[in-house]
Amino acid sequence: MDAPLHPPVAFRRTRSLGRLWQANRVPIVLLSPSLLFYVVFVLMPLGRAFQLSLTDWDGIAANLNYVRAENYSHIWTDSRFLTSLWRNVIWWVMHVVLGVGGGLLLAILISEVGRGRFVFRTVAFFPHVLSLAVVGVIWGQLYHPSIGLINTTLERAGLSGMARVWLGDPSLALYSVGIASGWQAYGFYMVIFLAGIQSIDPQLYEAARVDGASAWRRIWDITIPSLHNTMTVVLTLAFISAMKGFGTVWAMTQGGPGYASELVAVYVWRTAFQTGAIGRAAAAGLSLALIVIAFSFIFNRWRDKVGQYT
Amino acid sequence: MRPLRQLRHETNPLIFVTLTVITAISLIPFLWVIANAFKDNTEIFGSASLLPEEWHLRNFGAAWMDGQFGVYFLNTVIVAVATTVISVAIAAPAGYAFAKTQLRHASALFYLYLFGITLPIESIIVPLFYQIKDMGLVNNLWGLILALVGTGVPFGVYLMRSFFRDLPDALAEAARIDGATEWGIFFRIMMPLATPGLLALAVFSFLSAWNEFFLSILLLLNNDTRTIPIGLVQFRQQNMSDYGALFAAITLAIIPSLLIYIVLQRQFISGLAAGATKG
Repeated sequence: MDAPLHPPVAFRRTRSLGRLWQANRVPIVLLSPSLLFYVVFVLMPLGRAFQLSLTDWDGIAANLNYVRAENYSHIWTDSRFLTSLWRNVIWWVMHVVLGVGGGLLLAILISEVGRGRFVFRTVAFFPHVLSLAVVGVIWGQLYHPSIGLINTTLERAGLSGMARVWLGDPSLALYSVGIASGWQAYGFYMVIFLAGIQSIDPQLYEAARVDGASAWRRIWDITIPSLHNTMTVVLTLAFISAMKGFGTVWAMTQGGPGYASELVAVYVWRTAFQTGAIGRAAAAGLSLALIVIAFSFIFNRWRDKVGQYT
Repeated sequence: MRPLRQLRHETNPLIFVTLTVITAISLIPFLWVIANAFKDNTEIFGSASLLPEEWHLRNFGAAWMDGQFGVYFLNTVIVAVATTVISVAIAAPAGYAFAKTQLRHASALFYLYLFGITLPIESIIVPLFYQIKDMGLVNNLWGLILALVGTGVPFGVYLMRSFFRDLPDALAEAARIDGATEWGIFFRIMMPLATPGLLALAVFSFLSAWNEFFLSILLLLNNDTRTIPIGLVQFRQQNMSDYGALFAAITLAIIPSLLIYIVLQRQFISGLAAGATKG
């Protein structure tokens, strides 16, 4: 019998896989460990999150009961979830005003100061080095109604009327936690802005000096406009980090009182591990992912476009 | 981040005052916590002065005994060191493969990694927990370590790729002509040149693992496996009314971070800035 002209399909495939291996042995070996970790701890859970989001699993039942898109239609009409999403927007604004704004102010002032830069920078950055949990516990004590530094200082200043139960009052809790989070963040943004200021052409400042420009003119006309690109990076970072907000809230209020300081990540957590509505929590988590990914994508496209003209 | 700019002008006093005020806002919470750690509970309630009238050490004893801070510290070191070593060991070769080798379909694979940078870990926390539970690694430091390495892969590879891409090809070419193998080029020539990048990733991984909170609350439920952040939060829940001991516990939790920061602050600041702006 004559030998077949073409090898069987399966054989051909192993041949080409073999060739792929031969040609790319080095990169494949270099990449495999990272790919293995990535698949096992990110991509597989992601696939399973999608699967679970289509079920009403409670974390215990042996079989998965599929309910189609019911979890998605539930959360997108659920005022608790939608309010938690809105709180993330408030959280982002606070993060931008206190964290980014404070960081920008600090960076500009530090770049203007002749002496003591090192000390200011080192102290302001330190809170960022701590765990969100540690900062949450510290601020929980600062806000303590009777022994906290904030209320005792107000009382000593004769302003006891302004003392509040900062974390226990539903109308204040989110903002109180947001201030703590902003306090931790401004040193981080300061460092990024300082790197941006460093890359500004010194000749611009030289020219300003020759013209006898004041410090304010120098800041307003040179430093701030030159930080345009840094600013776009920082605002993206701030958005992503605000959408993921969890640690500070969890360490201070666990989303309470009631739902008053519940962000989406806290909603996911409570729904999954306290209520046991795993499917719904998975749907909420994936919705959050979709928002963050869509925003990052749009923002990057926009930045590339703007970047071409500046 | 050495000399910012040589400015020869007088510093505006208003600038100096504003800076001092902001720095004080950063500093005062720490001073208040540490001072209170040395006060007894009556003084914490009654006294108006920041510094203790009498310095007590009882709080530290109570915190150390109740809180097992020695155990927490050891666990945190294990988690941070193991996460850092494994992360760098797997991200550096992968970053090199993307930057300096000709792999077919590399760009498609790279997009898959980029996707992982944008994906918030919060969105996969539920299945990730059950997966680690299925592996029998809940209440085991390795469950946390492996999860941290896995979720850190996309950013680590991305960061290492940008560092390797900036290295010149000439040295590798010269070595190739001299008959060096691909492995020799990677280990003996490229890795040493990439040291600043490796350090930046190491600082980033170490710090995130040291401070990790989100996964730890789920995975480290038992007192012997807790790390410092989880241990401190747990300690507060159990010692709500012993204020002095809580302030001492916070101080104990801060001290290791403060010491590491004092020694490595330059690396911390430049490493984190590189991580943020390259990422």
